[in-house]
Amino acid sequence: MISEQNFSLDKQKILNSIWGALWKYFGLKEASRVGLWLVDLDFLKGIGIIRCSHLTKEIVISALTFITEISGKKIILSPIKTSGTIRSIKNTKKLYLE
Amino acid sequence: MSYFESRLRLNTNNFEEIEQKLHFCKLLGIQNIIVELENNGRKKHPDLKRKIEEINNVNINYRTTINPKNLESLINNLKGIGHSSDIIVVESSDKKIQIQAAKDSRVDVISFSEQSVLKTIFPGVISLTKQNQSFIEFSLAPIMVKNKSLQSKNLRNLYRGVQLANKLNANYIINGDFNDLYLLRHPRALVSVCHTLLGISLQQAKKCFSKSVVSLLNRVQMRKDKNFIESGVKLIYEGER
Repeated sequence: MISEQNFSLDKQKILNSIWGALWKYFGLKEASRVGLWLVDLDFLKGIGIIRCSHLTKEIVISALTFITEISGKKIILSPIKTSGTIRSIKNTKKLYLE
Repeated sequence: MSYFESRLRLNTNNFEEIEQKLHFCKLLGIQNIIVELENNGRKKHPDLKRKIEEINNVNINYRTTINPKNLESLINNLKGIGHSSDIIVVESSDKKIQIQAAKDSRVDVISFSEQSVLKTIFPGVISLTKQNQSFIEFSLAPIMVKNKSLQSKNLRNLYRGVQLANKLNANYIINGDFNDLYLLRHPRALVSVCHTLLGISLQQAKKCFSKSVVSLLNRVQMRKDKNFIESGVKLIYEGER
């Protein structure tokens, strides 16, 4: 997560913008298959974990790509790594932060 | 697999902006960049290239885009450019220029990045690039605009162009070509966009951002080599029939 300046964000705002992008570009049918869940989000370090169905992984990455601003502030939500299990992605996150 | 951002425009008059853009690329994890130096960057190359390469350890290649107004201007621009180490790209909405550029072995890429140019893509130019083992280029920047009607119109044009290239089995590459810092994206994310919105397979989309770009860079290397003989050319030695 790279943002223009330090501004207050909360989980709900981020979730809403991801759902917004999913609806805008892929519609109700695809959005209903996603099973989106914000597992973990560290605003200070700008890193988080999103859980979704493996069948809709590409759709979620595309939706994240199309998010350019939240609450009028420019932001980039860039995927770093995808994994099949939450445990391994948590390990990856640890390594990334080290 | 290493992915490429094959068009990053850098304004040579503003070195701070260059530093910022390259820093952002590093933050996003982009390892390979093909840089286009704007504002007569070609003339300032050696010094500027050294400065750019000192900024961070991202793998940088260079490209030169020619926007000829007519055929004569294209021919003049291509004179003496044959042994350049830059990727030579021609971008024009004139079909005659596109055909001439596709026939010319010095031209590596015919660009269809701009919307006005993208509308003019036709099977003939794709066929010529295939014959000449050169590439066609598309850009995703037009579908990241804010205006919804413009965005859907651009997506429609891009979809048509990419599907045509895909159907004719063309050599094509796709890039971001984003000007704004906060529009820059990692090529892997762009692969997903291509797969989900442009209707190309994941494998093909990945190829457009990695293998095809590597082939393009190899083509440039071979063009530089004075001993390289183009395919279809046979050397006949004295006394040999």
